[in-house]
Amino acid sequence: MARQWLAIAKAEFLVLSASMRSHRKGYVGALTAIAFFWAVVGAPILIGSIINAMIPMETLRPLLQVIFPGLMRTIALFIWIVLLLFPLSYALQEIKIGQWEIFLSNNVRTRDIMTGTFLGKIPLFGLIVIFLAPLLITPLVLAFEVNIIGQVLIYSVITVLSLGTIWLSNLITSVIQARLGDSSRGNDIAKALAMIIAIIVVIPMYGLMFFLPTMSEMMGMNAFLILPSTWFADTMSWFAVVFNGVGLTGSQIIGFENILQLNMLNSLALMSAFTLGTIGLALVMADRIFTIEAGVRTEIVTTVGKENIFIRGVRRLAPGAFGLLMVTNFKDFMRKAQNLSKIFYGVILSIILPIIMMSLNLEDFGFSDMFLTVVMMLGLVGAMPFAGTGFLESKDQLWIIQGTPSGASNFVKSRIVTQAMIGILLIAIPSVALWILLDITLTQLLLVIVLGYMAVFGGMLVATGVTAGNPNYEDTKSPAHQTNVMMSIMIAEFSIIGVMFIDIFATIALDYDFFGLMMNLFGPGNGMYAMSFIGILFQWTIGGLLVWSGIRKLSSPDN
Amino acid sequence: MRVYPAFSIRNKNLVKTKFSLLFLVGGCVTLLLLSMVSIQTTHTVLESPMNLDTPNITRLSDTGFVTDVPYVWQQINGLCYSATLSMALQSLGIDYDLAAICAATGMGFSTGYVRYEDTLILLPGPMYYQQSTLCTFADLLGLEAEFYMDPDSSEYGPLLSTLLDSQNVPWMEIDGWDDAFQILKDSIDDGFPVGIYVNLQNLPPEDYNLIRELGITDVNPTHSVLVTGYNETTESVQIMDPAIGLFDSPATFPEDGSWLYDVNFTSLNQAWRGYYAITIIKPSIGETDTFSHDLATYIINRLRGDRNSYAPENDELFFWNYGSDAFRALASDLTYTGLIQFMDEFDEYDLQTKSLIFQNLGIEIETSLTLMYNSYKLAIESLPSILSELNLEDFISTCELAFEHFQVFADNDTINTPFYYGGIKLVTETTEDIAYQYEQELDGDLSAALSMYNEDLAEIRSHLIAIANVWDDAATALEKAIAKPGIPLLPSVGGVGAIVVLTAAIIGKRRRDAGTKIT
Repeated sequence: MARQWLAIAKAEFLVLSASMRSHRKGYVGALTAIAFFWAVVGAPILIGSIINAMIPMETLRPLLQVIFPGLMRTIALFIWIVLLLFPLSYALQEIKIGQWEIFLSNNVRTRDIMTGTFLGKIPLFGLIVIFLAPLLITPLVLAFEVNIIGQVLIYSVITVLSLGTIWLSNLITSVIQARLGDSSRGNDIAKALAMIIAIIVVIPMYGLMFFLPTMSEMMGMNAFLILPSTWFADTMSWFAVVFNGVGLTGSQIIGFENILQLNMLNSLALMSAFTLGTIGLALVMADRIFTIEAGVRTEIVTTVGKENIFIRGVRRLAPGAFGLLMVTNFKDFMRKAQNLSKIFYGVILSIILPIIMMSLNLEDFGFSDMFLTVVMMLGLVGAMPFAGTGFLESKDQLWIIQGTPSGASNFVKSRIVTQAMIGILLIAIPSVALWILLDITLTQLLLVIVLGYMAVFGGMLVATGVTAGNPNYEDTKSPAHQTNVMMSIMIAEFSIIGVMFIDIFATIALDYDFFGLMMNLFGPGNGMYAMSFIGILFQWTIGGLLVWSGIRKLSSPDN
Repeated sequence: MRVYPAFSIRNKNLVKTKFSLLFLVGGCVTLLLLSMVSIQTTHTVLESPMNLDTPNITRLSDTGFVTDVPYVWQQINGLCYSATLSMALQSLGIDYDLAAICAATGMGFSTGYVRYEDTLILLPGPMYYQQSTLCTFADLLGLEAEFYMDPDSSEYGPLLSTLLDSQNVPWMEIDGWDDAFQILKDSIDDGFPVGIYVNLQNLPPEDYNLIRELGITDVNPTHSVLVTGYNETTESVQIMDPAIGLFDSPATFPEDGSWLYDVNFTSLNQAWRGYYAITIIKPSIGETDTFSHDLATYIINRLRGDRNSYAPENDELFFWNYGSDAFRALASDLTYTGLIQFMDEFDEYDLQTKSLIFQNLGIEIETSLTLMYNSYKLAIESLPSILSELNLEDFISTCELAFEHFQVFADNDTINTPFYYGGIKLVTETTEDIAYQYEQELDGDLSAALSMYNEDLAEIRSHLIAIANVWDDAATALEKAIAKPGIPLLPSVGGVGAIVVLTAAIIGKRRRDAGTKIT
């Protein structure tokens, strides 16, 4: 069949622009016009005047010129990672290969499917790039007074970068979907991967916010020459340097060559080879990715092994039905890669934030000052793995639970005890990491362990309560899942930080220094610990109430 | 500032450009001056080949002297820092003469070039961030170096302290004469002579009458000397000055011993108060097992212009180029376009001034290249004895290929003889001719003047690029000299590759076989 890719591209575009419905053409046309106007005219004028109002360009220019190559590499890396990993992470959330199988069974070539889905994504992602790229590129274009040819070339490189990356992302997504999509275990691994990928995105985002100068410096290092994003960045840098309007001298261009380490032709060649290579690879691989036959991977193999010492210990401590429920819960939770990846995600987040805050070298800013933040993060770590999925697998399971005396109550309580045990792991890893990395004192370590565990437990109570009240089973794309995750995280965090708001309110409205009172009670320097403790008590109260109401809802027959 | 009275037969006026601030009349011209650092060395392997002598100290209640310090004459303008360092080291029993200093500090193999706005200057090794060079040198030799300065002593203090910070050079802040003199006294009492930075007009030798006659009063320190003693009764210090005799024509070694003289406290204070900078070198853990390899690697990086070696904190400054690339960069700016761009920076000046600026550019390039050539020659001469365990034949013969190209530019009189303006070597001759055409014949048409001397400019560039290529080749030769014999790279990579391919093929075959069985 001819032009199957076009039909698929149209369908993909229609799906992506579904929110515009019948005004699709008008909206897209208008958005495209606005985007181009913004990139070529609006952004340079707007950003130029904002910069000039803050610091005259004459003063800023040398600085921008100096940080330029490193900054360009950072920006390109950021664009690359976001475009590569966000679609990937999104696709992995819910793998559905049913439509691929329908295509394949109708004699549509995989190559056409890939080309079609890629082309269908271009308008939306392209628009996003055209809107966002000028924000980053314009200051540099102004610093070098890049002429119109140079600007067109730079935007062309960004376009190639974006399209090439989307294409690569499409390829990787297809491969992963094809490999993981046809078994429930594969689906679970995919969801776990989605979380891991999200953390890879988060790190450069934090980096960009806090360490822009350091990262720019790091990007200048040799090691980064192997990153494809660097080739794109360097090509853009070269276009800015070659088409500059500030009169760079021959020696300065040699200087740039030394800093960038690859000349323009090499960067351009590497960039083109990478893009063409990716496209070629995808086209060659396309027809090998999918096979309709069920392969080895779809077979379910059940292995039964001896229970480990921990499980045996739990059985011994609680020999009755409750213990059995706990063991089942424990196995059920820890067996799923998705849950483990959420734990990993939370733990990494709780470590990264304090390290970044400490690295800022703020004057008189010590670990005790950010203790509340750490506790808050640990509340999140406690809430996230237990919110939404991993609670109940299906309605069938719920009906079984409802069919037993005090079933819901026992189920939730056993969940809480199991999760409290898992919580030990959640507090152990971050506290040891913080102890080693931030060199905190033993007392501070003890406080992190005790109050941190309380926050983890509180977060877990909130998550369990919220999820029990509105179970979403294993459907990660349902509104109930999104609501559960968001609600759990927000309540777990804001209940802790709520005391700060109370303090602010008390100070402003009632002229009463709540924080001062804490300082008096617990001693100067311990204010944050006291506030954290009070915040956790508040969190526990809310968590307890949510669990109570969750059990009630779970027990009600309409659920 | 270098002063050229009664400039040339064509130009009678002088231009004070910022470039010439680097080249003061007198001994060592140091923009950034010798700094000292407390080196926290990471070497752990102790070796004691240095045979460090116990200094000879003579001490009464209010006097102190370090005696038997060998005198080192700096031979050429620009090497006062090296000579002072050599004397200080020899007082510790480390037998490093001037040539050895040029080699072991890497100065003879280093250069930096900056072109930004109205600045176009080649900084030869002895002029390039002496303080960070000293850090590396002290680290290599396992010495402890200390640097003190008063950042508020004069308008130059903040500049130096900023430069030291930008180079990550640790230094200790002191407050004026009292602190400075106390440190000087303590160091001499401990047996360590003290390197200090001074201006010339306040030093007593007759050699510096010239500076006094010119009426120079600027406190900016331009010279490095070694203080070997003090006497609080007579209120004087004893100085060993490496520059005495340098202004004689021809420059003459001061055999009469006039290099050793006393300076009273008042004059010393005036000479020193630019930033009361103090350098003290002390023995520490000594040379390490890896000294030869480390020094050779350092020299390779300097020759190649490794940005991390030259400016670890500022390697992204695109208007700086280093090592071989410094010569290439200078060549790329000595083109028709490059020179037009440079002269555009001086648009507000009248024609005569601009003509002098252009002529001055040539003198500065010749001065830098001459100093570079001299320190390079000295370093090559001495390196084989310092890296005696390496076979440096190839390296030395490669290095020597640059001599003929340097000789096209170098003229010792340019840096040693006051009121001498060059004009007999390629760069100064060309710039003088272009300046003459520009001002006298072509009525300010620089384009036409430059076009007339296109061939000369091309010849200048070809010699600079030849030097750059020699430096790169020399780095490669030195790299080979330190390379340990082992499995050759190509066969080893090929072997590993073959194993990988074979393994992949076997795995592939096994998987295919397994697939066949399932179906």
